[in-house]
Amino acid sequence: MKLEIKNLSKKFGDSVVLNDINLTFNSGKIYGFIGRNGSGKSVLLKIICGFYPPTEGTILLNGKNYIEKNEFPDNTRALIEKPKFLPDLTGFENLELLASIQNKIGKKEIDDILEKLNLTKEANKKYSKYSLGTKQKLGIAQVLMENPKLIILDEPFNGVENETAHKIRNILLEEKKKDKIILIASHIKEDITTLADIVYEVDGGKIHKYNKK
Amino acid sequence: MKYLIYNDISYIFHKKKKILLCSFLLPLLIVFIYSHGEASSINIVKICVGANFDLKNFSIISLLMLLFNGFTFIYLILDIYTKDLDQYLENIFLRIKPQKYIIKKNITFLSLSIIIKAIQYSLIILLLFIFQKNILDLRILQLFVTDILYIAVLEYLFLFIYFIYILMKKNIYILIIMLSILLFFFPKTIWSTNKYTILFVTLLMVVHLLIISIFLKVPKKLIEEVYL
Repeated sequence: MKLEIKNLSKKFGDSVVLNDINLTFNSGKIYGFIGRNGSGKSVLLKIICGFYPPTEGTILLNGKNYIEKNEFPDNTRALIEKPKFLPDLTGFENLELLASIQNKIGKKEIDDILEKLNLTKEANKKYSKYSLGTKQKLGIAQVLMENPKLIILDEPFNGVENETAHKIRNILLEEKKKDKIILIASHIKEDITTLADIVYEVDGGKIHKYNKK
Repeated sequence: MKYLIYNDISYIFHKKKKILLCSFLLPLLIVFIYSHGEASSINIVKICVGANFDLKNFSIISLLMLLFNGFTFIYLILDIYTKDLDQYLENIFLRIKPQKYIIKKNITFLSLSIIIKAIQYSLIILLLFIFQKNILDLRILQLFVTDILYIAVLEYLFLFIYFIYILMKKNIYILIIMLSILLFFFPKTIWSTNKYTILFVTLLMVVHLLIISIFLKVPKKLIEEVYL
């Protein structure tokens, strides 16, 4: 799998958020994006998800220009900012409902991902009763459960205690081994530098490779 | 489809329960007030939804109920469509193709509007029955169907105008012009649209097609402009 960003720029009015970005992402790697809040990390991830149209440039996923066709990328799951679930349903029911959209997986796969994220105990509690960290873990479960090839996570460690963050990091490293492309953004450098193979710093509309050492 | 239905219902019951409750309780208050007089069942139901509003025979309660009836559903449609484009992006659009989404969304929201209306009418009829009014009047059923059609056309016309407005960079002048045209041409009385059922059904279908076309042409522009 290959994701290519070519000459991508994004403006909101007169403000240039991303300026002539060229990046290539290959499977089996974790790519991190760091930068202060408002630097354009989330905008970049939203453009990759297909939610925002770029002002200029294009993105190819396995050679397919989904941006031009007004489509969204195939086999992709994302967690942008906060997880969004239905408060009256349990964690399990929420995942089951989301899985019913494409019918790719059944109860077993949902149970497996809940177990992997240590969510089995909380699976039958209502989502509204979840702590911030548990909500975030369920958001990660939603992203991983259908075995996507492209994983996009924006601030995945928000509100998560150290132990859970460690667990999520290990799971992402396991996912990486399954030949996936994983893109993670965070404003906390340490979250990213310990996990990503390649780290980019987003600043002033430009993206530079960040030297981890 | 199941996800969209659950999502909309959960959203309405959690975030919009006050407006939903008002849309059920206000008509009941009207029934309560008018049931003690000589008014017939059909006339009470008409007042409940503002269906008897007439510029020549002006009644403030009918006008208020007509505005309340219309604006409740306009508010719901705009809010429910924009929440998908604003808050549930990754859950929806990375799993459903845009064409499937907009068609299913239109069907689910239309069904939801019909269900809300059905509950509203059922409660009104139940209270009329308690007050020993004649509820076996076919005109009530006719009004129910007309009301649904009227509201459905109105809410989707507003959604269409809203889409155009946000695509035009939220230009307030365009919004005012479009709303003025709509308010000038759109019938002010629900009951009178009875005569134009075919025209309204056709209009509803045309507006749906326009909304689907706009959404498929520029889904990302819509998402971005709703968010900004």
